[in-house]
Amino acid sequence: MAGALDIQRRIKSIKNTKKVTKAMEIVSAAKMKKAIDQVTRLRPYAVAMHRLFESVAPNVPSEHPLLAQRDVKNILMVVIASNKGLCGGFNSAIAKVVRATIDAGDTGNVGVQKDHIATITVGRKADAMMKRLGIDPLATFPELNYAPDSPAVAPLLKMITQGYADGTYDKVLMVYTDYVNPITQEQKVRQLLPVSEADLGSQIADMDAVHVGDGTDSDVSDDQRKDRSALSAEYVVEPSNEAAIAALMPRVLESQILHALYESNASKESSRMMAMKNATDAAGDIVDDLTLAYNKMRQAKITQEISEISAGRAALE
Amino acid sequence: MPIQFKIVTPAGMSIEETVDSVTVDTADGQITVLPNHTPLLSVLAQGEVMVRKAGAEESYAIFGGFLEVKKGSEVTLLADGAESGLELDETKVKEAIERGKELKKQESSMDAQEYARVAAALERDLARLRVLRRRR
Repeated sequence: MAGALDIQRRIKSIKNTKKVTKAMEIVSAAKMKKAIDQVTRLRPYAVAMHRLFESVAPNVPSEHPLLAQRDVKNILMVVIASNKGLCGGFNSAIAKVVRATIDAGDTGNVGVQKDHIATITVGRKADAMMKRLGIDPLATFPELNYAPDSPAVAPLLKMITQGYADGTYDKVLMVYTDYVNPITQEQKVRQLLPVSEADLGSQIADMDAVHVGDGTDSDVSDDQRKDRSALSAEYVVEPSNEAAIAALMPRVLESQILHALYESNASKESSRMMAMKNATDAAGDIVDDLTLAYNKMRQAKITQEISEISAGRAALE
Repeated sequence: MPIQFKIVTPAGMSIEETVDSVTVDTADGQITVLPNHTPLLSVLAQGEVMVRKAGAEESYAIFGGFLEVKKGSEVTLLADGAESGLELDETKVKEAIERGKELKKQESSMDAQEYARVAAALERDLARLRVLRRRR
């Protein structure tokens, strides 16, 4: 019964795999919930920063290094993906968007050729992806995929603001995955610098999207209306508008980056959850098939033995 | 009319309460906001925030950010981080300060980024200590 033993061994091994994928699915579900929670908690801060920025920025001379608009020659791209695989199409979808953004060349929204694009990556997969595209990342921050918070984001933020302020880059883009719901994630390309009102606004709006279904949405929109009307309020700004914008800009960017990291984490975990769910289901199917094959084999053997015994008996009579 | 006071941070720890006055360390020095203050936007220093409510005082350590005073006695602190004075442990904070000072001395062996991180951590701990001193 060598064949039956083999099948039994395979059934056992696949059952173990199934346990592992099931566990990963549960872990991912918990991590996803955590990431969504972080977006929800970041939201009031991001909204407030955005509003302050809107009320202060118009009063500041546009020569401010982080508000300057220049002809786009060099671009910095921040690409956010995962550190590890086993998360379905999560990384390949980001790679596709990055490639499309680069290929858009001088006609698309990027406006420059590949040699003028530099990247900073978050996640080892993003690093490998950019190298495959022939762009060596300036820096990579795999640790930002684990526990992104303000101090952790600081080095990345510094690289971006310095590079833009000293004129090394004329535009900073960020590519990440926005979590819509467990089965839908959207890849987004956002302009961080120069600050694009439209992009900043829609990213703030994306934070609301997560809220939907929480049942907490009604008071949020009320809040927002109140915020908008406060825009007209005349502030006394201390110590000066310039100092305020210098303190505001990094924080506006920080909240955008943190948001992107949280969304990306939520998306990654939900794709992993789906991938693991599929793997668990497939493992279940294989176990069923193999069990059937094993039972058939065993039955065939029993039938054969019976027929041998009865044939032997018939020969004796 | 009392003040509607809120602390909002990226981690979402937001304290929302009604208070009588708020004293904060801004970049220009310490200020106290009373009800009906004129709308104000000010840059915060690392330091402490003292909230007075019905005679009682409560302190928070604040790690930089903004103070926003809106019309209608609404005061919001948009802080990079905030900790309630009640949650701080003096011995731990003092230990952390000693450690931070030691680390800061080894500046030559660190790159600029690491040094900045150590310096920022030390400043945070000093802000925590100031809050603790106030409580006694």
